[in-house]
Amino acid sequence: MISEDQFALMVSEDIKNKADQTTKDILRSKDNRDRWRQALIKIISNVEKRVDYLSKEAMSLRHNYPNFEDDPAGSIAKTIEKSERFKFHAEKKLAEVDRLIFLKEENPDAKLSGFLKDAILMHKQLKQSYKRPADHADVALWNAIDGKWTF
Amino acid sequence: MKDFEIIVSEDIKNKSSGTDKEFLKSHKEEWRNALLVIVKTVSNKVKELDNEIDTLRSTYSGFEIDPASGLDEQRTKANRFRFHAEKKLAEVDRLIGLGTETNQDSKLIDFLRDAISAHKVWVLENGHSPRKGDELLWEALDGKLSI
Repeated sequence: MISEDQFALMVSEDIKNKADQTTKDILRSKDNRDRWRQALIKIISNVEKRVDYLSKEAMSLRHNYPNFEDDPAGSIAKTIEKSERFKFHAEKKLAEVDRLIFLKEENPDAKLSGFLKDAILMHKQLKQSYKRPADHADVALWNAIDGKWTF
Repeated sequence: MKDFEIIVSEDIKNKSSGTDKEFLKSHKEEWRNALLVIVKTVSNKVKELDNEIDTLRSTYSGFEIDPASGLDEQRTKANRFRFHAEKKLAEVDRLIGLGTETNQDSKLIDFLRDAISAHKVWVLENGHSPRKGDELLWEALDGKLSI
């Protein structure tokens, strides 16, 4: 199971279009769609709160220092702009996951990935049901489901 | 920072040229070692930042503005950098382990296929006799799922 922090990071990098293809596929797999959606909703809400807070900060600074030649809230304004852009892309991803959930879409590669993932999970179940000790390769194999390479 | 470490670091940030990427692939062990050092260094930095942030926030708990916002931003950046460094480490481990070419754009399906192949290689190379479950798993590479 991918940890909360790690999952949030994966979602965030995907929003910025900096995630590698494996990470993208993991987020879009059927098993992770709801979790991905929840993470996006949380991110959007956090960014909205942050923009709201920063806007008030900027207003207060401009009000307190009206005679400054340069905008006293210049750097805050830049942060707001960046946050707004991030939110825009997060909302695009939310629309994507909503569409995937609604249409139950799955491309052929995702079906094959699901097949291999099932095979790995069954291998794990089988090993555990026979109470056999897991060796290094087994643990590394099971970690691969979360996109980790630990061989 | 030495040239090699700069190349590794720029590659983590996805800012390296095609030539640099090829150069790294031809120096896998050095690349892997540099990545291990980077991941360890960044992990220590994150721990330090955790402590500093906690201290600042508890010392100046009455502040209206977060007294550790600058450090918090640094920590976010460091975590993000480590995330990508770990991805690169996974990539070079796959290259070393499988001895075949992989690329950063490889899909989850290739990743899982490689993992099953690596499992098979490890079991056979370490003289373990494969169990029924292992053999059934490996058959999945040929599209069979009979577990």
